[in-house]
Amino acid sequence: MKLLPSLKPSVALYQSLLILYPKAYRHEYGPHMVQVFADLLHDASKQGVLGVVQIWLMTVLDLVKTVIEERSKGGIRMTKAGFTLLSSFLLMVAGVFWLPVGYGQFEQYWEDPFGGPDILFEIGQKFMGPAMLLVALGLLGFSLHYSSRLSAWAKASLRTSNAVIALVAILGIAGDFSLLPKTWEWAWYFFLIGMIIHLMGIFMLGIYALRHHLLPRFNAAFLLISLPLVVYMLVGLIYELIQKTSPPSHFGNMLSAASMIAMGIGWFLIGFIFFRDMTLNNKLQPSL
Amino acid sequence: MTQIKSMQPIDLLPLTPAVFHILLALVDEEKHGYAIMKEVEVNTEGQFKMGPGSLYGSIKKMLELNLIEETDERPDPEMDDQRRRYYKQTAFGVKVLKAELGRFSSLMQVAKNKGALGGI
Repeated sequence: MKLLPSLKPSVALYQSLLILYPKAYRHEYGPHMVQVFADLLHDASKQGVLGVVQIWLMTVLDLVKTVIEERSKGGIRMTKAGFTLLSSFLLMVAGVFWLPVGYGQFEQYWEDPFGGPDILFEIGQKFMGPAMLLVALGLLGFSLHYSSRLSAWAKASLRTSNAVIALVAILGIAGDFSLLPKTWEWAWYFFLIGMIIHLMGIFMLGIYALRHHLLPRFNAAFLLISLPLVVYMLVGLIYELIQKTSPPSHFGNMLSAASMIAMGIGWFLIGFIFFRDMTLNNKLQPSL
Repeated sequence: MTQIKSMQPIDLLPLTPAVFHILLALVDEEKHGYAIMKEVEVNTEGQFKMGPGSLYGSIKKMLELNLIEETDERPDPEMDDQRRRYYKQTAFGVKVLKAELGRFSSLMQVAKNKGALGGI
């Protein structure tokens, strides 16, 4: 079986992700897992892009489940290098999780042919809490890895942003599991203000990253994450506080959806380059 | 290792779905990882799918329990010229699969006696 050139990057990415498994397991089974993944992709590519996407979705879930299984068998011995590596992966997954959140926002304003609550919007909303939690965990590793290269104000921006998103994530997940009374309007404002503080921290970090080339590439991704949504949310918050009602404009709501998708792309790019930065430059300890 | 050697087939029952389907896939001939995966998919009409991590996680466990063994590494003539690692059932693996199928058979009999199979 000759692998199509278009599938080679996918196989290379999967091969890189195997570093998440324990070293002994990876050495014993890694090449065979890559071979099976290449076979799966080769067959799925006959169904076009959708087939390849389906294989990736199945494989990512399988990867998360089996990495946890294999790592927990030997007891969890998480080194700093191991945690930062895991963090980069979590940021990539967070990026993927933000996409349905954004897409669900678009769906909210289309006419529902079944007359009930829009299912894609509801599903999208369920991804928001986990996405924020993954960002919080990912930023913790990011902070461990890059904080020595940050100035005092950039470090403060990152840590504030990280702490606030962790709190907002917990609040969001508590809301998802109906642990908060529905009448708690302050929860919504806490969420809104928390997200603005988090995103402003990311924006400040982005300015520093651009000026000092913090990451090898994609430093502008921090601005892609923060700028569109923070502007939109600030305008929305001021409007709500003055008018005591949500902004009516569908255009504004579409903008919020597009901003969340941009945020997803931004986190994925940062997670990806963070991962490459650690694995390609041999900064990772081989004794994972 | 001594503990594993003194194990009886019944000690391993019930099998996890992945272990059961892999053992079943290896009944007729030795197979490499992807061939096992495809056989399981066909046998279950696509209802049970494994990713590469689940497949090799199960294979690792089955090797440790002496349910299967590696034969050799060689290319699959139908697929390509890459070398692949082949697996086959051990004598103990055959006994364990038979014990599991016997358990299913007993359950089917119970279901039949209770009339739970009506219409199937």
